[in-house]
Amino acid sequence: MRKLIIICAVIMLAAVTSVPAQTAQEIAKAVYDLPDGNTSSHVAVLTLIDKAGKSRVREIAQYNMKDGTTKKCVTVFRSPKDVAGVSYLSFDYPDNPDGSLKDSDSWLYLPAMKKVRRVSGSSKDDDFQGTDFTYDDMGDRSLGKDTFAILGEETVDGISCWKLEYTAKDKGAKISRRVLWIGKDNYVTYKGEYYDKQNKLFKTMECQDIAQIDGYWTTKKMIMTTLTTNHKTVYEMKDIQYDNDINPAFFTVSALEREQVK
Amino acid sequence: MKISKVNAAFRSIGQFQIKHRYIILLLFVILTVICCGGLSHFKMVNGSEGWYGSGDQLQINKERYEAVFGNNHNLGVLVVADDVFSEEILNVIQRLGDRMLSEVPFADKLTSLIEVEIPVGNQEGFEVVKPYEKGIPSDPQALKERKNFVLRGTEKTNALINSLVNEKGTETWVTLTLLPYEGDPDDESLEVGYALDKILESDEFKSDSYKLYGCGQPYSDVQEEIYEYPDYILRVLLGFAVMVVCLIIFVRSLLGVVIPAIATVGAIASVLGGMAYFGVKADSALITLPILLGMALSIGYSIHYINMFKLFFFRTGKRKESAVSTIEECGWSVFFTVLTTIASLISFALVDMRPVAWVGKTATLVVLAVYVYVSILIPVFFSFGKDKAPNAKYEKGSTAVDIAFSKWADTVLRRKWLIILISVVVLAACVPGMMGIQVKFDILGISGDKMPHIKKIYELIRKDLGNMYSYSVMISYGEDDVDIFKQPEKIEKLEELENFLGTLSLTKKSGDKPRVSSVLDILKEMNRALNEGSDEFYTVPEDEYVLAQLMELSNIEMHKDFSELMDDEYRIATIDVDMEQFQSEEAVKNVSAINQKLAELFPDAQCCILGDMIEFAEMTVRMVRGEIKSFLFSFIVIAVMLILAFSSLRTGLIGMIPNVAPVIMIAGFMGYLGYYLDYITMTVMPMILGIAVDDTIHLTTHLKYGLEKYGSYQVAMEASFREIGKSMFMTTAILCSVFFVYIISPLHYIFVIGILCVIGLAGALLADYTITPALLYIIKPFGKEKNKE
Repeated sequence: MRKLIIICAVIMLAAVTSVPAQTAQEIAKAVYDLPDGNTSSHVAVLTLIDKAGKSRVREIAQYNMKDGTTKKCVTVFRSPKDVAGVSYLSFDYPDNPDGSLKDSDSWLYLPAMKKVRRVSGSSKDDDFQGTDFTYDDMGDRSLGKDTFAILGEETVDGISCWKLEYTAKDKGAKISRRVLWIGKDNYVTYKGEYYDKQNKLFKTMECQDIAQIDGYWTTKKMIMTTLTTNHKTVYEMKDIQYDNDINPAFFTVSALEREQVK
Repeated sequence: MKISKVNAAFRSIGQFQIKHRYIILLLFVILTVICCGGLSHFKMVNGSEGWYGSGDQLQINKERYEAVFGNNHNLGVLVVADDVFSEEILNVIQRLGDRMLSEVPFADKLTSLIEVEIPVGNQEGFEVVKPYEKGIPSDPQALKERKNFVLRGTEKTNALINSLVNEKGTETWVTLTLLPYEGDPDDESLEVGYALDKILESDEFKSDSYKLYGCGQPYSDVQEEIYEYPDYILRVLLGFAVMVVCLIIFVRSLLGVVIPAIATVGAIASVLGGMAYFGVKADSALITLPILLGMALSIGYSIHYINMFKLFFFRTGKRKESAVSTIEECGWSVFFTVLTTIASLISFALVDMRPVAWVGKTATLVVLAVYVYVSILIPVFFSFGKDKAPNAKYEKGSTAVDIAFSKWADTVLRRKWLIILISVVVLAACVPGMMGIQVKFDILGISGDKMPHIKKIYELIRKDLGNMYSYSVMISYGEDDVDIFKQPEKIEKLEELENFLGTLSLTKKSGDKPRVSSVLDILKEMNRALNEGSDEFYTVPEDEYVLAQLMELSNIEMHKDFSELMDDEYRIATIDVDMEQFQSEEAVKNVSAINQKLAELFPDAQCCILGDMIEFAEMTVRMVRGEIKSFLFSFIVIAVMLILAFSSLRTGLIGMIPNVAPVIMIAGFMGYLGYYLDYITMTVMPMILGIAVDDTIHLTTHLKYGLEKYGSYQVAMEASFREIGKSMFMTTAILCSVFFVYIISPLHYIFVIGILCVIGLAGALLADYTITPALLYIIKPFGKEKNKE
């Protein structure tokens, strides 16, 4: 009888003290909800390297602001000189209540034409500024687009990670499956693999210089390599600031026209 | 060179062979098994991919192009229906595109009415519109609106009209670009082609309301495999059947049929397997040629050996001794014919085109292997068994046919000048035909129109949008010239070149629109979209700053399309051109005009033409050069061999005359029958020269031997015809029978090879029955006559 009481007590204690296991969906949501401040800004150096090793560098400045549930972003090209001053303004909205996606609003300013043009229709599957990243890779891909599964646990550079699989619900999606290594302690992505429709490894992502800045987890350097073309893009962030004082007027069409955002 | 000494050397070889026959047999079995093991690695290449070697400038240009613009293969399906904008057809296009994207390996970017993105400008800005992004409507009005949207404007202001879709809306393309191959491009290209074939042949796309036409190199190669390979196999099997029948007729013994058959198959399989070990890929179009040639020559060699063995065996009744005597008697004459045949075949290795060089190397090895197998295995196998008593029947002498041939020699002697005259007249009559041979290469033309896949290609190219061939022009500036195409004057020149290419005779035109595309289409679309969609801005901006920004923006916004036509450093541009048809002479002219224009517009850039146009034009030039080189090489080598063999310059050169005659006949027939000189037919003339000379050698050798024996040309000639007149006819009949299997092929080029070979071989035999003895009588190359018997 005494033995039985001890066993029951041990079982109950174990049940109380163990952390409830997270589901894949919960982990994906935690990654999606990772805080990044109400405002933020950084300068990004994009180095595009072709298979022969030749590289081209673009520098952009990016400003972000949350306005209620709307995410506003201004991107300004600083180099090369031909595109210096070309800027994009985009408003991203949350998914509709029925789970369907709500189109974002975007505007483009071309200094050579002194014109702001409204841009619509570009897909999140498209390349981000002609790089190996897509808009989906750079931003928050809507959770409604995928199903999730935990493939296992692995250590990346000494960090204990979940190996989380995102499978696109859209069977025609160019990237059918993503496998991301998510830090168990911080929900930060440490590396990724992207598979095409034939489930063949298509792209890999390496994340480096991951650190907390102003209390926010930040990946300062990402390298995306497209294996089929052996082309890679290095995305390096500098001058990173969170919750900084950004003029809300930056996120307007007129600010683009006046070339106010540099 | 004393024939008796050479024969003595062959006798020693024969003695060695028979003495060590078990070891030799064992070695043959081991060698054959090892070599045949290579057949598991045996691969064939088809299409134009394998025409030029890795060091070839065309191949280097292609690799440079692929390094910048990726895989130059793509796939296309032309959808033809009464209205491609109907709900049913749009659904077909969507399903087809989905399946192509998901089932075709290396699928990259799909373009179709469903997938197409159209930049549209308006007062506020611009929008990238996918007309059917929200699904294919069922409502007729909505369908009509979308159709009108896609077909808005004219072919001059709408890049899609007469390019993606014809202006009547009855034809549209579904195209798929491919990612670079990762492993063996030949294998992976076939995987791609088979995947498309599987889709197009599936029940899902069987309907009377539309037609689908697949195209693209990977698909064409697979169609060739599906429809043409069975014919190649059939030709080889028929060739083998003919070989067995010939052996049954002429040898009439079980061993006499089985051993040559085994030797031939073993020799050919060993060569193909051995080459496969070294990674040599066979050319599909020419694969049957060395095999059939090997079979045909093998029968000839086997009959020589077997008949000779029978002769000795019936005379002496001793097997081993008969085998040795056979080698002594046949060894040199057969070996010498092998050498001359090889001399003609190896001449193909001089041709700067891989299929021809491959057939040269392979046929050489096959002939050599067949000779080695036959000359070793037949005496060895025939030496086994019990000796018999001599058979007196074989001492009796000549048959009625032999006597008739002997009489023919006498007729030639009496009518030698008439024969020479008739020969000159016949050959002279061939000259105008020979002069009229056209050097022309066209895959469709050489394949004829009997095969189902070729019929479908003919249907395809007759459509408004259909085309089979295309090419690209690449303009490449140096590494220090980054951004050079952002200069308006360079873009103007690019536009001038594009317009010029549109005027060329071989450029496909859909409606009035030349099918030429470059980065200018994207720049014009973007410029218009950024300027409220006004058609007056469907131009390339002249201001350098605006142009530079437009280019960067186009590269960013339409990166995928842009990067297919210009590199990221804006220093390499390419223009793609679809071709109406292929005519080699026109291609040579077009290529010359393009090169001239490139030199004029871009003198400081490295420019090249890639794709079908240059490959076919270059092939035309190389065919002429190759044919001349190959023929001259084989002519000279064979002449030198004859001179050395007969130790007489005069005899050697006389021996060549009757062998040039069949070549002139072939050329004459080619001209009169309208057969073109292409990379396949060009193999016939040197090959016939090499084979035809065999009978001349036999005849001349016998004459020389007879002259030594009888002292009289007439008697020697009569004896020669009596002894070998029948076997000359027999070997030619066998060769013609084997090549006859080509004549009944539905593939035009196989048929043409058959016709030309039969004409050439029959002409060669005729020449050896007429011109050769007449000339030998007249010139008397072996000196004066001695004691007449």
